[in-house]
Amino acid sequence: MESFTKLFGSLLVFVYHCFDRIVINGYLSSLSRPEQVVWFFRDILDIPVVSKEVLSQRTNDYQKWVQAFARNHKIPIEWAGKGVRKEDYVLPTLRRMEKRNAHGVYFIFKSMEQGRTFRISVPKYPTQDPNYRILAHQTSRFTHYYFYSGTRCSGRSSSAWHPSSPFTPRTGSTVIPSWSGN
Amino acid sequence: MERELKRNNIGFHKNDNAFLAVDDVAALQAAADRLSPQIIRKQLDYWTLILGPKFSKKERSQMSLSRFYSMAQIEYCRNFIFKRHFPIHKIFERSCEIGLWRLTANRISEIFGVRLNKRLPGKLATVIDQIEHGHHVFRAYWKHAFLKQYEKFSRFLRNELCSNNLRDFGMKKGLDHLDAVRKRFQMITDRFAGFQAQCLNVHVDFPLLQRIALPITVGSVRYPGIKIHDTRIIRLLEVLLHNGSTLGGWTAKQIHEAVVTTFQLSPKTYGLNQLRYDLRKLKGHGLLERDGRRYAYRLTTKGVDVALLFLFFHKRLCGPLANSRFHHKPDPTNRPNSKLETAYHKADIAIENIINLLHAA
Repeated sequence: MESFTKLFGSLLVFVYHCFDRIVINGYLSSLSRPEQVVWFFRDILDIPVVSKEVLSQRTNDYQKWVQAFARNHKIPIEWAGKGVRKEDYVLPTLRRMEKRNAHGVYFIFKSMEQGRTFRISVPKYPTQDPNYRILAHQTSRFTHYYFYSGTRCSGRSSSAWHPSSPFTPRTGSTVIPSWSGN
Repeated sequence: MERELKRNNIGFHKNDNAFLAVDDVAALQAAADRLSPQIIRKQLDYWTLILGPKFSKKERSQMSLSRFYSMAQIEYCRNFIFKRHFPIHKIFERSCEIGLWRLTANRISEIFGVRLNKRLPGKLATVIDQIEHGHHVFRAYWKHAFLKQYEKFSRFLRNELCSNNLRDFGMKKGLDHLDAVRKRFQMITDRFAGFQAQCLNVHVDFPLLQRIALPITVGSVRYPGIKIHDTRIIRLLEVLLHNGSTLGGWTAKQIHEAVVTTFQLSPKTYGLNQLRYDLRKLKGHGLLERDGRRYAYRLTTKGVDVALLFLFFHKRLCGPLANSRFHHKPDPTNRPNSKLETAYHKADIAIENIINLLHAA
């Protein structure tokens, strides 16, 4: 850096350094491992058999909630097109929101992406507990929701959520471009 | 950062994700440094509550719903904003070429601050990516991280370190370790900037001939461009380089006489008015100046440089090479013992080789 300043110091207007982008994953610690998921359904929800249907029900509930949220707040919700840069695509909507001097979620993208989730299978051989199911991590493609939000205090960010959450090891990730404004 | 500056009423100019001007640089840096794990966590917790999957009251009461936040991908950048009159596009392109050769595996490891060994997982390489036509990005890969350098708007240079796995740096990925990551990444980008400084300190082509060939307007007066192939200008510059004109300048008549005599021209072929027209052009482009209030002219410092370049190109570089290519090639076996003649012959052979290769292709 010293040599840079020495060679180009007179030609520089200024220099600054900062985080350009941070992608943060959020984990629900108490639901990251298979045994914790089983405990959640059996001991808290009193569901003896953790089946595919039980997990699908949670997924469907969340998907319905997102649809309702978008409908109630008049937020556009679309599937992300191939080769389309999401940040550029949502920019006009952001500008419109800025003109209204509003803040909050302004766009929701749906995208099929790969991620880690749980799979459930029935044991091949009979076990002592008839309700026992094998719950294990797997990588599969499923719908991700990208929420684009702008806040007055902390600028712009986007959050991706999995509909099957909290039953994925990773329950959400947020991208924070540190330079961004509203 | 933008929000912070607006809140403090500090003027700035931003284009895309780059700050190109700011009233208070220290305030900008302070705003960048203020991004802390606490601020991020507060925002994440808020949006998690609003947008995350819902849990019933019973579920909430019986289990902990606090989240662990980890940094999956992180990019830290060091930005250099150059002065408007110093466009860096060509310098950057040249530095990419040099970087591709000079940034070896050992050098990459030095920049990342680790010792190179045989069991290095991931990548260790340098590449130049073309994002779009004329827009390149230089990347140096190391394990699962990479350093990249790119230029924007001709005066914005960004050195960026991107990590997809903080374990490569022996660091923890929890959000609480953001400050440690910042310090470590600052050191690495600092070393990278030091290396890049040498690569940027290079010769690049400057469009002097194109610029001089364009007409310019000074006030309401328009001056025509000066063409490099214009024989009149070449003759005139050769005469003006004479030492005699530097002392008190020569009048138009004296210059005319010198040109006509030196190049054995008749006054009809090159009249005094034609000379005055040429002098006006040179004066308009800042290559010629008057001696005080006298109507005597001499070359300016820039004018001397331009004249030497013009004449060097015509008489020493392009002219002799064009002669051996298109007119008469001197016999290389009986060449005089002169370094310049040897260089010309070498250049002739090199040009011949290139032409043969192009034919073969």
